[in-house]
Amino acid sequence: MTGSGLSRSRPIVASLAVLLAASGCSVAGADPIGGGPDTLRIVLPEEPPTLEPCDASLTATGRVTRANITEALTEREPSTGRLEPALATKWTRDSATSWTFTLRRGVTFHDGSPFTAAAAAFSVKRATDSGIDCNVDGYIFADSELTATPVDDTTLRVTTAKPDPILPLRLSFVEVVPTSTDPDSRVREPVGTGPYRIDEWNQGRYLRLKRFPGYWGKAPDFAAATYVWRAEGSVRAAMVTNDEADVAIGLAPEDGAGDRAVEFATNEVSYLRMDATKPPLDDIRVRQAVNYAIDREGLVTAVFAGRPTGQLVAKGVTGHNRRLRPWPYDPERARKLVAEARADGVRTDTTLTIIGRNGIYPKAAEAMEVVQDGLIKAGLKVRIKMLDVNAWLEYLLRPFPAGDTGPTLLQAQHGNQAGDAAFTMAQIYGSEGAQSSYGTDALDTLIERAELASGGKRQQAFADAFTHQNDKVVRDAVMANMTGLLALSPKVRYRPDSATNDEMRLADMRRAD
Amino acid sequence: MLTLLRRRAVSSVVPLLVVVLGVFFLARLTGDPANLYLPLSATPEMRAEFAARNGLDDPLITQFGDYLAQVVHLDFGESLRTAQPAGEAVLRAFPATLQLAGWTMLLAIVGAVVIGSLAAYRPNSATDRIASFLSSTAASVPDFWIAIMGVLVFAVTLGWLPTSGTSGAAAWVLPVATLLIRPFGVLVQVVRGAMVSALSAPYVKVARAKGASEFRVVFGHALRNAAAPALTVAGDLAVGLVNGAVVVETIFGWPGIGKLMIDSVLQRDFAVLQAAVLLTALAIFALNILVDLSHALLDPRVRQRAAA
Amino acid sequence: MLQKATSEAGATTVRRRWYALLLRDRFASAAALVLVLVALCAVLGPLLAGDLATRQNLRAPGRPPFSLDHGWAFVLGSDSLGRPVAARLLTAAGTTLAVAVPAVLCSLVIGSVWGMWAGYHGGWRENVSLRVADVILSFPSLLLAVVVLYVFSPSAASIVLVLAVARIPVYLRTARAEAAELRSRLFVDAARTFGTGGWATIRRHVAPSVLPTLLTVAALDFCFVMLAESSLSFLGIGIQPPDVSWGLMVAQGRQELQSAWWIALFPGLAIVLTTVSATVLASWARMTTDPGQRWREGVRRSGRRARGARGASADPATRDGAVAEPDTTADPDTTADPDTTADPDTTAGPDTTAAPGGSRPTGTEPPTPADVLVVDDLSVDVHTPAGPVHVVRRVGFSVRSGETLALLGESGCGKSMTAHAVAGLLDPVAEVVGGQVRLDGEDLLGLGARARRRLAGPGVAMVFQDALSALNPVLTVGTQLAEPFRIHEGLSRRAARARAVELMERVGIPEARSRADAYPHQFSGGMRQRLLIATAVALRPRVLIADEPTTALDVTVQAQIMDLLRELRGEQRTALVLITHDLGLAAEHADRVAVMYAGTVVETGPVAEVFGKPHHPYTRGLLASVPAEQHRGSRLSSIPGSPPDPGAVPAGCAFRTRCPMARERCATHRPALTGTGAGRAAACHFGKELADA
Repeated sequence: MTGSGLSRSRPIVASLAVLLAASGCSVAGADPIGGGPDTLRIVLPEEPPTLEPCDASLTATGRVTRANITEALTEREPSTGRLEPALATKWTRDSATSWTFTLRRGVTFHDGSPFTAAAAAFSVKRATDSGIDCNVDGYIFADSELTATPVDDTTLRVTTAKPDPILPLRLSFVEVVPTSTDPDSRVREPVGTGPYRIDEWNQGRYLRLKRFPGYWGKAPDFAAATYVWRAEGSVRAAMVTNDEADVAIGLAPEDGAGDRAVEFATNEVSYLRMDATKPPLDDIRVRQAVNYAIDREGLVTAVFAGRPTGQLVAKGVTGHNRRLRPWPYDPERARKLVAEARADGVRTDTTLTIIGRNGIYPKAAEAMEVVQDGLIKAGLKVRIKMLDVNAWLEYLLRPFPAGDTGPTLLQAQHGNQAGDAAFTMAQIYGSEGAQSSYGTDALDTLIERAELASGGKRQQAFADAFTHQNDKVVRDAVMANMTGLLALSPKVRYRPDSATNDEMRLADMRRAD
Repeated sequence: MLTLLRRRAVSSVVPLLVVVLGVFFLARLTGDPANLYLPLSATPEMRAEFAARNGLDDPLITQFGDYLAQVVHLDFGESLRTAQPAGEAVLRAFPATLQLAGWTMLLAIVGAVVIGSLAAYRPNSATDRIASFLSSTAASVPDFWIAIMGVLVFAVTLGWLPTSGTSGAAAWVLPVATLLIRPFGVLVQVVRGAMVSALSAPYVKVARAKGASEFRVVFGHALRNAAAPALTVAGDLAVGLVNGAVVVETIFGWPGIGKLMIDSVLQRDFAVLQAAVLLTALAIFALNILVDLSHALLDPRVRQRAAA
Repeated sequence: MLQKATSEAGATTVRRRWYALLLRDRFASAAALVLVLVALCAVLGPLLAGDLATRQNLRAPGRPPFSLDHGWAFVLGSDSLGRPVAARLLTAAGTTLAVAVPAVLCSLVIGSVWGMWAGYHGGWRENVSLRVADVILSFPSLLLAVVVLYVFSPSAASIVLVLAVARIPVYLRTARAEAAELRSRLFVDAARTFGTGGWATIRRHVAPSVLPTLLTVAALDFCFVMLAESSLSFLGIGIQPPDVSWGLMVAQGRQELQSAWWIALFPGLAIVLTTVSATVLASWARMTTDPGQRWREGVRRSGRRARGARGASADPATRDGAVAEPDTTADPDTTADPDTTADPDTTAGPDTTAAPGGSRPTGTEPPTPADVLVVDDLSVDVHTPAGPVHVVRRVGFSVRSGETLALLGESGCGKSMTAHAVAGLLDPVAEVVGGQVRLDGEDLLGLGARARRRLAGPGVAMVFQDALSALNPVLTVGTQLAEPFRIHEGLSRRAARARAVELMERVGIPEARSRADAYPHQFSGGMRQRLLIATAVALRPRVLIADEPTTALDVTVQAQIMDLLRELRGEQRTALVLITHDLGLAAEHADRVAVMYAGTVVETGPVAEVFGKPHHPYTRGLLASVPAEQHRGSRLSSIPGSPPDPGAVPAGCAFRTRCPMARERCATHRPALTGTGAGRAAACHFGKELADA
C-alpha cells in the first residue's frame, strides 16, 4: 500500500502464516484414531499416567494394562466371584502359610522370552518388596509379607508370614513381567504375556496396542486397539455417536449416548463417612438421622445412576450381606431423632461440613446439595466444601488435618476390585484403618475373625460385620451401588461387568458381524 | 531496535526469577503429594521415604536452591505422575498450544481488522451497531458452552466435523473457533474504537484531499495509526491463550500446555508445573517484547523514543 | 453498581442532566435499564425467590421451560435437582455481582492508581511496576486460584481476591501508558513547576483523562470476571453450592446441554446480557465525557432529519489499548465549532429573514469567466443530538486565478466549515444542505465520489492548520508527498519519489533527498508546514484553500510560509482562499476579503477598501479593536459580548446583540448581502449609510 512500513509488515504476516500452516500439518495426521475396521477405538476419561504393571490397581492404569498387556497367575470372574486359572493352571494350599502354583506351559512374553516360574517369582518380588512404591503392594498386600520361590520351571511356591486364606486372590493383582524388567524403577511401557502388546504411545494423543501373535490363548477379534482420552463425558459419548470411537467409558446418563448406552453394575459404592468422634455426630441418633435424611431414591433418579444400598461392597464380593437393606428415606424420623438428641443436650446446632470431591462421580456437587438439603430439613446445620483430589485425600486418610475443622461428613466412594471384603473392612471400618475416622472394639474383633476365616465361614463372618456396622456403629451413610455406563458402537459386541471399570478386556470385545 | 531488544531481555530476567520462585513456593502450599502417589494405606515410613526420594523433606529454601541449580543445567526434574523428565513433557505439549493460539490470534486479528474497520468507517451506521452488538456478545459468551454446543451441533447433529482430537485439518475448526470468539469480540471493539479516532484525524482528511481512494484512506493511512492499541490488547489476549486454553484443550482432548498445567496442579506434579510455568513465562515475555518491537516497527516515534 | 460508577464519571464533565442525555440514546437507556434490573434482582432476588432457589424436587427434575403450570418460578424450567431455574437465576444475580463488582472495582482502583503513579513519575518506579505486571500476567492465574482456594477454602471472598489480582496488570498498564503520555504534555509539567504535589496533579490532571479509557476496560473486564468465575466452577473451584452464581449454573448445566438445554442457556444469556449492557453503557459514558468523541459520533450522512433521539450510543472508541495515542485531532476550529452547539437546551431561533428570490447570486459582482471558484448560497448543517444546527448559512464568494481571497472571521464563525464543504472534506456529522460550489463552472456538489476524488488535488487542494497532525505520523514524508503523483498520475514508486524530492526542494526543504525518508515528527514546525503546502500544490491545483496555515508558527516562520504561498500562487496561477482570523495577515496577503460572522458572509470587497472603510459594523468593530499599526498577529477580541452560539443565533441580524447601531428592524429582518459600492457588499441594513458616511 502507501507506506513503506506497511509493505514491511507483509512478509512478517506471510512468514507467520507459512509457519503456522507447516506446524498445522505436522500435528494434523499424527492422530490415527480411525484406523480401519480391524482397529478397536476406545475413548477413556483420562490418559493412563503410566502402564507400569505394579500400579495396575490404579484404575487409569489397570484398565489398559490388566488382562490386555500383562496377565496375572489367577483371575477373578466378576460375575461369579470365583477365581479362575490364568498363567497358573492350578494351585493348592500346602499349609496355612504356604501355597504351590502350577504354571501354564508354552507361554511367551512379547519380547519372545518364555514365561517361567522365575519370571513369576521375580514379578511377585518386584510388586511386593521393592523400592518402587507399587500401588498394588499397598492396596492388596498392605502389611502381609510373602516370598515366592521357583521350584522348577512350571512350579512356584509362595509362603506368607501369617496365614492368608485368600492369597491366590491377592495374586490376581500381580501382573507378571519378564525378569528383564527393571526391578528398581517403574517402567512406562511394560512387556507382558497378554493378547496385546504396546505398538505406539504418542503421549497426550493416543496409545495403540497390537495383537500379539504369540499369545497362548484364543486370539482376539481385533488386530489392534487405539485408546484416546477426552475429559468431557458428553464428548466421549458424541465420539461414539459420531463413529469416531467404538467404546466410550465413564459416561453419565445425561451425556447423551442415547441408544448406544450400555448400563452395567459396578462394584463402586458411594457413601458418606461421618466424623463419629465429634459432636453432634458422636451421638448415634444423629448418625441414624443422617441416614434417614438422605433421599437415596431421589439421588439415583436425579443425580447419578445406581441402586440404593446399605453396605460398602457390591453383590458378588465375598462378605456381601444380602439381607442388609438400604436405609429408607424417612425425613420425619430423622427430624425426630435430631430433636431427641437435642433434647438430651447434644449440640445439634454445630455446623457440619460436607467435604466433597469434585468429579468423584458424575454431578458430585449436586449429590452433596441433595444431602445438604435433607440434613437441613432434619434440623442440622450443614455447609459444603468441595475440594480437589489431593486436598480431599487429606481428609480421607490418616492422619487427619489438624486444626478446627469441626465435624465433617466426607463424600467418598469405595470400589472393592478384589472381590473380598477383606479389602474393605479393616482399612475403612477398623479403628486404625487408613481411611477410618472411627471404629469400635467389637467391630474390630469381628473383622479380625473374618479375615482369618475361609470358605462359607468367611462369607458369613464379613456379612455379620457389615450388619454390626449398620446396626450398632452407624459410622457411614452408604448411598448407592453405582451403575456404570458406557457407549458401544454397533460394530462391537461387549458385555461389561462389574470389573469393567478397573479391567477392560479387549479380548472380550467382539466384532458384531 | 536492538537496544530496545537488549534492554527488554535484560529487564526480563528478574521477573522470570520471581515467577519461578512464586510458582515453586505457591505449589508447595497446596499440600503434600504423597497422598496422591502412595497407596491409601501407606505407612508414615513410606511417606518419609517418598519425601526423601523426591527431595521434599529438605527446607524449602534448600529445595529451591537445588531446583535453580538444576534448571541452570536445563534439568527440570522428573514428573511424579509419569516418571518422565518434566522438561520433555512440557516441550511436547507446548507446540500444540502454540499452534492453536497462533491460528486463533491470526484469524482473530484479521477478522477484527476487517470488521472493526467496516464498523468504524461509518460510526453509528447499521453495520456499526450490528458489529458492536455482536462483538460484545461474542466477548461475553462462556467458552465451554460454545465448545460443547459446537460439538453437539457440528459433530453430532450435522456430522460435518470431528468431535475432538487432533487428526486432520477439520479437527482444528472447532477448537480454533471456540478460542477465537472472545479475542475476536474484544478486538473488534478495540479496532473499531481506534479506527474511529484515526479516521477522524486530520491526516485522513489530508489523504482524502489528495484524492486517495477510501480503501487507501482506511488501510493505508488510518489502520497503521490504529494498530497500536489493538496490538497491545491483542498481545494481552495472546498471553491469555498461551497461558492456558485450558477449557478448549480439556474438551477437545488437545494435548496442550494449559491442560498439562491444570493437570499438574491438580496432581501436585510440581516438577512439570514449574517447567510449564517457566516455559510459558518465557514465551509470554518474548511475546511482550515482540509486541513492543511491533509498536516500534509501526510507529517511528516509538522507535525514536526507544532509541533515546 | 457499575452503571452508577460510570454515570458518576460522566457527571464530572457533563454535570447537567446526564440522565437527559441518557434518555435520548435508546441503546444506552436500554442498557442502563438492564443493569438496574440486574442490580434490583441482586438486592431483591433473595426476597422474591425465598427458598425456592434451593427447594429440590428429585422426583420430577428437569421440567422444560415456558410453562406456568407450576408457578412463575418454573417459567424457565427446572434443573436436574428439580429446582426452578428462574428463581435460581434471581438468587444468583446477587452472588454473581457480589463477586464481579468487587473484583472489578478492586483491580480498577488498585491497578489504575498504581499505573497513574508509575506513569506520572516514570523512571525506576515505572520500570518496576511494569515488571510486576509482567510477572502477574505470565503467572498462571489458575495455580493462584487453586492455591488460594486451597489455603483459604473456596469462598466468594477468595475468588474475588484471585480475580482481582489477576486483572490488576491490565489496568496498571493502561493507566501507566496514558499517564506517561500525559506526562510528556505541557500542562502536567506546568503543574509540577508550580509545585503542586504529585498526588494532587495525578488527581487533578491525570485521572480525569485516564478514567474514560479505564472505564471502558472495566466494562469489558466485568464480562471477563463473570466468565472466569464460571470457568473456575467448570474446574470445580468456583462458588460453592448451595450458593449459586450464573457461572456455576452454566458450569453445572453444561453436563445437561443435550437433555435439558435450558439449565445452562438462561444463566448464559444473563451473563451475556449484563456484560453487553455494561459495555454499551461504558461506551456511552465515555462518549458523553469526551467532547471530541461526542462530536465525531454523529449521525449517518444520509440522515437529513433531526435524529436527536438516535444520538450516538453504540460504543464509541473502545480505545481500550494500553498504549495511549495522542489525540491527533487538534484542529481547534473544526472541533470547537460544533462543540459549542452541543448544548441541548438551546434551540435554533426561527429564521425570520425571508430571503427574497432565493436564487439571487449572493456575491455582489456577477461571476465573471475568470472566476475559478464560485461558492453560491452554500449552507451547511451539523447534526447534533439536539437536532441540526445551521453552521454555515447561504455563504457566497468567488475567487479568480492568481488571486487571494481572505475568508476572515473569529473562530466558530463557520469559515473552516465553509472551506471543508468546498473541499468536500466535511465530517460525517456535517452536511451540505444547499447551494453550489462551482469549479470552472462545474458544480462540485453534484459530482459523484469518484469524480470528486479525481478533482481532489488537481482541482481543489487544501493546506491544513496544524501540520503535525495533518501529516501521517507513521509514514515517511517522502511517501506522503509522492502520494498525489501515485494516485493521480499513476507514477511508479520510484518516479513518484523523485517528484516528491523535487517538490521538497521547491518548497525549501534542505537536503531533500535524504530527508524524504524522515518522519514528520523529525521536522520543525515551519518545515512541516512547508511539507504540507508541498503536498497540496503537488498537482498545481486550480484552487488552493489554506486553512489558518500559519497559526501554530512563530512570526518569522509565518512570514516565510506566506511568502512561499504567494510565490506558488504566482507560479501556478492558483486561486488562493486564505482562511484566517488574523487581520494583519489578510491585509498583507489578500487581494480581497470576505468577513464572516455567525455562519454568514457579512462583508466582502477588496481588502484595502474594506479595511480602509468598512461597510459593516462588525468589520468596523474588528478593525477598531486592533490599533492599525499592530494588525499583524493580533487577535480579534474587543467587541463587547461574544459571538452567538451557532445553535442559538438570534433572529434577525445575527450581530444585533453586539451591534452599537442595532435598531428594531434588526431584530425582525435578517439583512442580505447587498452591494454597497464597486466590488463591495455588506449584509447590514445600514450598509449604505456606512458606505456613504
